[in-house]
Amino acid sequence: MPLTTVARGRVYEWSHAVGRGAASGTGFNYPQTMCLAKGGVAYVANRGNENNFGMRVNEVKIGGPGQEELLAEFFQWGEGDGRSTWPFGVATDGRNVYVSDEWNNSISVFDSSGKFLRKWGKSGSGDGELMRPAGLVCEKNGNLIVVDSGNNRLQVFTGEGKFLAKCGKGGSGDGEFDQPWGITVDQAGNIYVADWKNHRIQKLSPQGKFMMKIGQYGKVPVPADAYAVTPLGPYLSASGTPGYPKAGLLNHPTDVAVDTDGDIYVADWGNHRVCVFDAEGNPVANLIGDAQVMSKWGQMSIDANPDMMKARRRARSLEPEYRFCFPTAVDFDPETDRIIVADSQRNRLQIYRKVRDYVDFQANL
Amino acid sequence: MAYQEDIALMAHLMRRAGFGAGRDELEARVAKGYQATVEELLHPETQPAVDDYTLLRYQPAALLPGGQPPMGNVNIMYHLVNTKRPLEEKMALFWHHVFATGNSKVDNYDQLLSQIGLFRERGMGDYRALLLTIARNPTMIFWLDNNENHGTAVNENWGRELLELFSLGVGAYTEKDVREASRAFTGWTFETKIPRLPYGRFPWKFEYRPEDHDDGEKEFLGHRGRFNGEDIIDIVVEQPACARFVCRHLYNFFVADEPQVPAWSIEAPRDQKAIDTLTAAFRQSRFDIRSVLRVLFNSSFFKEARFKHLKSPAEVVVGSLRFVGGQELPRPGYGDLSMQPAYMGQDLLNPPSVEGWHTGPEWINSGSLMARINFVASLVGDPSLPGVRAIIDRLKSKGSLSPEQLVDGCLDLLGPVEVSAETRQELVAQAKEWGQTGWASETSAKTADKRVGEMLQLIVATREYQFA
Amino acid sequence: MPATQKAPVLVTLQLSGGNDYLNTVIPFNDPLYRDNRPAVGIPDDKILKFDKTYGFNPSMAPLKKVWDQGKLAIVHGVGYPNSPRSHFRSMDIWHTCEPEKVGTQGWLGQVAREYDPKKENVVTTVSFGPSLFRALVAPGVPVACVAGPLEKYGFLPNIQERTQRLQVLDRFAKMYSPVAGSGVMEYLGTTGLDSLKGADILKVAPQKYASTVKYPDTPIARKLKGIAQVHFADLGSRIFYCDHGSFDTHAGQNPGHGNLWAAVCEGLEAFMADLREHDHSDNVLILLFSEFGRRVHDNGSGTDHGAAGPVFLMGDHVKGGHYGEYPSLKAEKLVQGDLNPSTDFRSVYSTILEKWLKVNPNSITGGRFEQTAFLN
Repeated sequence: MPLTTVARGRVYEWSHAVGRGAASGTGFNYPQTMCLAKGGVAYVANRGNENNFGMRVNEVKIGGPGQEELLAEFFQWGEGDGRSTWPFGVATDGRNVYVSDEWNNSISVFDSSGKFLRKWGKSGSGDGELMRPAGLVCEKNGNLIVVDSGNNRLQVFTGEGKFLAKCGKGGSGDGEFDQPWGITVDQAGNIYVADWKNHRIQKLSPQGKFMMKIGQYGKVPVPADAYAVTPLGPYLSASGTPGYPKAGLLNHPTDVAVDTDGDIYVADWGNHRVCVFDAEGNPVANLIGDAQVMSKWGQMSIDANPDMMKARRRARSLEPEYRFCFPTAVDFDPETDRIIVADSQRNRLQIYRKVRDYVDFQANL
Repeated sequence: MAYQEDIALMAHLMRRAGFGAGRDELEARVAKGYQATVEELLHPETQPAVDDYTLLRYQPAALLPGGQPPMGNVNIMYHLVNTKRPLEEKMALFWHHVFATGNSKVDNYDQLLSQIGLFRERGMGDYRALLLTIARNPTMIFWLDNNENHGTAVNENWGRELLELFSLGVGAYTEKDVREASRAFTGWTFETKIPRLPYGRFPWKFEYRPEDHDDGEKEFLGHRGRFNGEDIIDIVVEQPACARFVCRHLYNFFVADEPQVPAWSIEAPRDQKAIDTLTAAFRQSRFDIRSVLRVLFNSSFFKEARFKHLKSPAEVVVGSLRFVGGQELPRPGYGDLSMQPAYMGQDLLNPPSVEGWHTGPEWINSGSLMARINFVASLVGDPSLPGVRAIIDRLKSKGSLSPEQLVDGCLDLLGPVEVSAETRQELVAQAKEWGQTGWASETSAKTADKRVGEMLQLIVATREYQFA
Repeated sequence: MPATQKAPVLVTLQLSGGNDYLNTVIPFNDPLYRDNRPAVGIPDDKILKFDKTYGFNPSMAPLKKVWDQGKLAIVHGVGYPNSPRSHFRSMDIWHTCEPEKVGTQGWLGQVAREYDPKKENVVTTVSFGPSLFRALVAPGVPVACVAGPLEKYGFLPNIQERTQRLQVLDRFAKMYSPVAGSGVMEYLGTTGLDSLKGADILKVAPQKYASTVKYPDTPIARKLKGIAQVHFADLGSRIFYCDHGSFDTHAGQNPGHGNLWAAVCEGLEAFMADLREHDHSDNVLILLFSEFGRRVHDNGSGTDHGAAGPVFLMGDHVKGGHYGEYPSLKAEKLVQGDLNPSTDFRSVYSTILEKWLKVNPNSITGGRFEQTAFLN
């Protein structure tokens, strides 16, 4: 099982996993989106479940292998300021943290340690009104772009919540959206949106003008001797490394990230992979999840449950555990050249490193 | 009047082969024709499947829900309420009732959901193939202890229920047959799964262990050989008792309430001729369930069986939610909605035992009756829901309504529902307290909306409304 | 032998989700407690120590008062062999006394049937919560299931305007008048009228109720208040059931677990004060149980599913104290990382059934079980 993915001049090395399933505290509960702050800190927005458990944003220091650390949690389920029903988007401008609640149609603002500051939002389709707000991203100038998913558009607000601009409408043409999910901006301020039900990424200019689209609808083929990890995949092949060819096909993509070289990473949610495209949108590689080493918090769960450890040893293969299962979010950390993936159904982050000093296979090793 | 009869018959078909339909849909289906509608229902692949991705976007915990309710219930309820393939879901419920497997022991709603997925996929196909699939289904294997059924130490749980509850019924086999069938299924088990901590649930996988299989000669239902499990199933499906048993189940589920299954070996079917007709179709088609259903839905015994079936809680809840509409988004609170059948005595994915639920009048006790009436009433009494709005709009178009017109209009648009003269008299008496109902002015319109809502609530509270 | 002349009443409060034994009754002297609870251990100075060996969770002060009054019995290490660590399966076992197969009859349902074989009182058993607990289920045994507030219990609660409501319920009664000899329709009629009768009976309870006791505003306190109201109305109700949860503290156990116990204890404190104020406490026995305890070693944030747990009994006729043995925390005594049960839960049931509810326990518990002496 390769932990290193090599393709067309790029090398991605799996680093480690962070997290475990937990409705509060040290772990995640169905991350929907994520954003990075300085110092390898991630804010993760967790959806939770119908027992009203798990909803929250947690602030986690990713660190190196075995160094994960919970810094804060906020936006838990409940009524009133600082509380949530359906947390979805999270973004930071380096100072404050913005979160969306797609049931209450609001944007809440917290300081970097999770103290509630203010909120805005009103249900509707007029300017500044929201319908199931999803992904968020902060622009360099401090403005906030909101993926106004139910209205199939983007809206731009000041950090104080003043409506500035909008773009897009429902549809499948260029610059049109169908229930978009995640969003990012590159160094030049270009906007990338995961156009979920249109199964593509759209790149827009900082002014919101359509520039490019990436991907088309397609499910990765199910191998003949498939082992279905869930009824909707991922599918593993008993006869070896799963072949995930067909780069460029996307199935309900949920998020996008751009690295310092301009490479584009797409969370291909329904295909359980992260697709790498070059800046022109040509497919380069796929990451499928390689979590062969337990996260620190995961190991704590195993240590407390000796029968789980026993069962793990008896399992024929742990490969289903390595793989992504509905990855929802992807981010690139320019400080460490790392790609962070929120592996939603497995309630963990998987971290890859983009290796720049890689020496190719040496026959004399 | 003939058209009204067509509507009533179509409403009957949709209640039984699906979960009911509003008036607009019934009119469209009547235009299409009865037989054509039956064919559409029998071929679910002609209609789009439920969009699982939308469910998972809003309720990601519904994919691998683990052991605690209600996320597994959310998953199945979302399918039931939003399906455009109602008979496919109805058949999944049918097989869930026959091959009753429960979370009380399985403790993995995800495994139960994947079993339901098999029923969706294969529920209208070849019964022999379905039986084999279920024999290899790890959820069933665990539920009936076949993983404890070893070549050296036979566990008869699966072998017995296969014959008693899944295929033949009491009286069609001997204790020796149970023993021999169980021996044939030794070694049918599942792999050690990846445990649920710390990353959630992983699927269970069938495994055949030849070294744990008793390969000796067996004597089963008059046949002799070194049978393995598949041979047992081949013998079972050829038994005349098997056809009778499966068809009586179908009759009980789709046509009219029979006594509870344990009484079937003692009590004759209420309509032997109907069972014979279905049995013939089962055998002629070589166990093809779709063929049996085609005969059933087109038969006069089915068409004449209106309101002879006491609605199951799932039918009550799903039927009402589909009728009032507006349930496409699996919104916060869907969990409680999904538990409603449980509150009425039918905890989906968690039947009380391998015998499934006791049906017919046994659905009703003082608590469950109140739960079902209040739930339906809370929906039909809400004029903001699209299906209720549609009734109001149709009534409104008739102008001002006398008490009789109000009652008859509501009865018609809710079903049509057929009630006794005594019940109708009470409903009319209540409507008379209110006088004329009309939407001429804004204030009278508001009152009229409220009156319709109250009349609908009173109708769903009647005894007659508990039947389909 | 209870000295009361009144019929004994059992109130069961189920701690759903699996309550953590070690942080409920804390063996604070045992160094193994500290060793196993690096993340969720209760600091020594916070423990409510009630004797030389054990202390309560800091949020359980009201329960400590009951202990100090000698009215709280703690039965230690309660469980059954081969804990499946599944919520459902464990709960089913507790509810039906069937550890080997899927049982269909609840232990209290069978008691209700003995009390009222002809089903003359439809409120013999009153359960608070939307779902019917399996412990109460037995064929043909009516259970009044109060899902929302007691004040709104009844048919068509959305029709609230008074005259409308009376009219509509009157129509309902007429529509359900059984037609003799019509089979299912007649059965439905009788059931509908029974249910209406139950609602009528229970409706009286909040109307008759007056108290100076203030209950906290929590779900469990509301349920307990409902129980008090029905109990005071003398409707012949004998079995009350409610639950609180979820005690399934895999993560964030502190302060989650403490908050759960705070709600339970504060609710019970109000409930018991209310019973005393109305001179209705002497025929009430309160039972607290959970389907299993939790792992001995924490997972860094909470605790996972385990085995043995404590059972609490409270009431005027309870002989306070420890019963049974706190299972050893020593690694070699653990079973798969869990406390090994020292008392079978059916022993507790057996005592309650025979000594309090006055019914023969053996057919219900499926055998003879040694009884514990927690009742005066």
